[in-house]
Amino acid sequence: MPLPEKPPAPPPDHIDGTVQILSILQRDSRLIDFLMEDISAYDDEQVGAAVRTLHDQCRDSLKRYVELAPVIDGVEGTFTRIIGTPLAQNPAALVKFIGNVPAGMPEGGVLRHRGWRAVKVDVPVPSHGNTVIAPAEFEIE
Amino acid sequence: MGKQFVIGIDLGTTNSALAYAPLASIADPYQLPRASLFSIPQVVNPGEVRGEPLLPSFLYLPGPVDFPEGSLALPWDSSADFVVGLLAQKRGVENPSRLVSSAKSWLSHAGVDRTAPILPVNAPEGVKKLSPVEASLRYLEHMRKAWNHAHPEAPLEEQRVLVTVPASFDAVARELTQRAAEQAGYRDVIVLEEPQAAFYAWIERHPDWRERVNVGDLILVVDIGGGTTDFTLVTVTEREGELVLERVAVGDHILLGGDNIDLALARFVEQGLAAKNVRLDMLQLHALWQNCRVGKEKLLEEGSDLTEAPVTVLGKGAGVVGGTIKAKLQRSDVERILMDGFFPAVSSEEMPQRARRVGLQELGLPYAADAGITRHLARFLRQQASQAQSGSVRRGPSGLACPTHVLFNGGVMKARLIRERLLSVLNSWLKEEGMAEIVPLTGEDLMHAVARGATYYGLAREGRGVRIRGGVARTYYVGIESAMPAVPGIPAPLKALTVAPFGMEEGTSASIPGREFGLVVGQPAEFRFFSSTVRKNDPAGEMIEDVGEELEELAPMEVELPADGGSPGEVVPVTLESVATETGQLQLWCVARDGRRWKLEFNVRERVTAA
Repeated sequence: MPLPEKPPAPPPDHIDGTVQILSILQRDSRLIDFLMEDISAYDDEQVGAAVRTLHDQCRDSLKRYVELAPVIDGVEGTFTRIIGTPLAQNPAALVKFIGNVPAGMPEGGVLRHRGWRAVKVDVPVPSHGNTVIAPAEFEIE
Repeated sequence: MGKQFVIGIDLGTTNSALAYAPLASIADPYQLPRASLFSIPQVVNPGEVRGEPLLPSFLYLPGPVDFPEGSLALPWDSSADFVVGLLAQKRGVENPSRLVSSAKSWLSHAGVDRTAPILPVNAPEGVKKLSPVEASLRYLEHMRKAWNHAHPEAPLEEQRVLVTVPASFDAVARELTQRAAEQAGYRDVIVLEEPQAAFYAWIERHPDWRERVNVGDLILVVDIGGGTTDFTLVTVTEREGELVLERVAVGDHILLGGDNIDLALARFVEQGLAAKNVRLDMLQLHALWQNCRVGKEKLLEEGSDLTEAPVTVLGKGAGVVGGTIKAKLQRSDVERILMDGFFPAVSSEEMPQRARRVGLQELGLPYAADAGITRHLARFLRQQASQAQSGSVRRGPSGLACPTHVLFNGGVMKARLIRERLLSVLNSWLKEEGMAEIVPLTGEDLMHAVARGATYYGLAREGRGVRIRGGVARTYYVGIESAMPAVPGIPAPLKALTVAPFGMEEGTSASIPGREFGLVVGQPAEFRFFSSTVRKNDPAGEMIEDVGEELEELAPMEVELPADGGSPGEVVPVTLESVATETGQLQLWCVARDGRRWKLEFNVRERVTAA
């Protein structure tokens, strides 16, 4: 009689992905420790020293897993056309108009923020059901 | 299927690398292909495999609770019960007792049984230990399987594989390396010495190398890596035109390197902190060590004018900001520790101190007792090199071996400050001996040079050797008027005869046997010469029927060759012979049956003269 087959592991969902990216940033740069810490008691010099290190590590980690690029490669503060560019194809997702916005689609505007886009995301497949962002650490003396 | 690739493997003490080059693309035997680096897939975090240019030579033996089940799986092995590479290195910091490191240094340590399971030395009871040979085997096996996974059509065991070892390896260590490779599934491995590989890497990157080194030069190879320092003296010789490097002296495998420098900096910063009553635990000291390395590199990198670099150790536990320890690494301190501690300006008489030996010792590696690398160098040039078997070692009046060139290799040599200090120390020694200054040969990409150089050497072995002498960089032809019935208005068609094949080596000759041509003597006649950089496979004597666009005509030459007793305008049947001289001249000799000879001469700069 054949053995009953082990049910395949359920595929990872959006929650697994979220936990994974948090755990990566904690592992590589201790971001969660930093965000959850009450830093109001420390002077700027102390915070600055920690943040410089943490910032370097966090950015290195982010860059390794996600390739980032601006949505539009323009100069902030200059008038930039939207009509006739790829941005006009899906403006609701790609651009946000602020200020004195007319009723119809504007030609363009003063670029205030170039936006960010994930060109490539390269993270390992997360395991389903994991909620641990960082394991507890015990030292054996 | 024949060999498709040449693969060079640098099995390093702290990092290993694999470089390769395709053999198939050697359509042009004079143009050796460049070596590429293979990105080695390895587990970098539990459950994450990524390709990296280096495989850290670390092996971790996980316990039952080290990693989640299945998180060490590699694309070619889902059930690995050990891990090599980056994750092993990282996890080993947290739990050193299960980490195998410096297996190569253990392999060269004659004081232990190198095939006995002794690593990790401080493993807790119950951990199954490995022998130094077995650890090396696992790194080699990892690289083989990684390669085979990426190149299933060209398995590594069917390629030409070269593995490098330090020149200081004794016969046993070499034999054990070879055995490890065989057990790791390698076949017909060629073992090459690292300094030679480093020199080949330098040649690969410097097409003008023939103008910078010559036969008889004595090259000092200084290789300072993460944990080891090696000095070697190599002479450049030639055998039938092929470049041959002969190792004439080799120093001890000194267990002293870049890690010692970084640790010294970390200890210095730690002392400063201790004065302020800040204590560091083991992991924090390790973090400080790493940060000192980064800080040192920032301060010493080319063009940096920073006077200090911050080194910060983040707080323990969940408090990052609260427990952060701040310190600064001053440029002046880094330079002082480097210059006084590791590279002091010493005389060539000053020998490294030997530690007093305590009768009973912990089983461990024989670390160098004296951190002064320049003193070790003095000892090498004064004592070890003087025992060299070969008489080709140039010596000064005091007996000091006096190299003509120095080749730097290893990550530590990236710092200009260190290269310059070594040069100034060497030059002060040479001056005392009345010798000319040493010529530095600085390579690039010092972390991967050995693997690349091994590949280049392998290519040279498979295809055409790296010739110590230069070759003619074009194919040369002489124009021959064909014998045809005259047609008014149309000159007789011209053919081109290959007289010097592409790459024809200086100092050699090529004869064109079995064919005679008519040579006009005793009256002015025009000689036309052609060259081609495109047609590289025409052998001497090959007749090109149609002088097409691939041939470039050189300035024609009108000369009157002496009749030497014959009648003016006589057409003498001759055979042709060409000679490429050491001075770059190409001579075309026309030899008559009666022994009369005429010479047409032109040089590589395309001027034509006759004699």
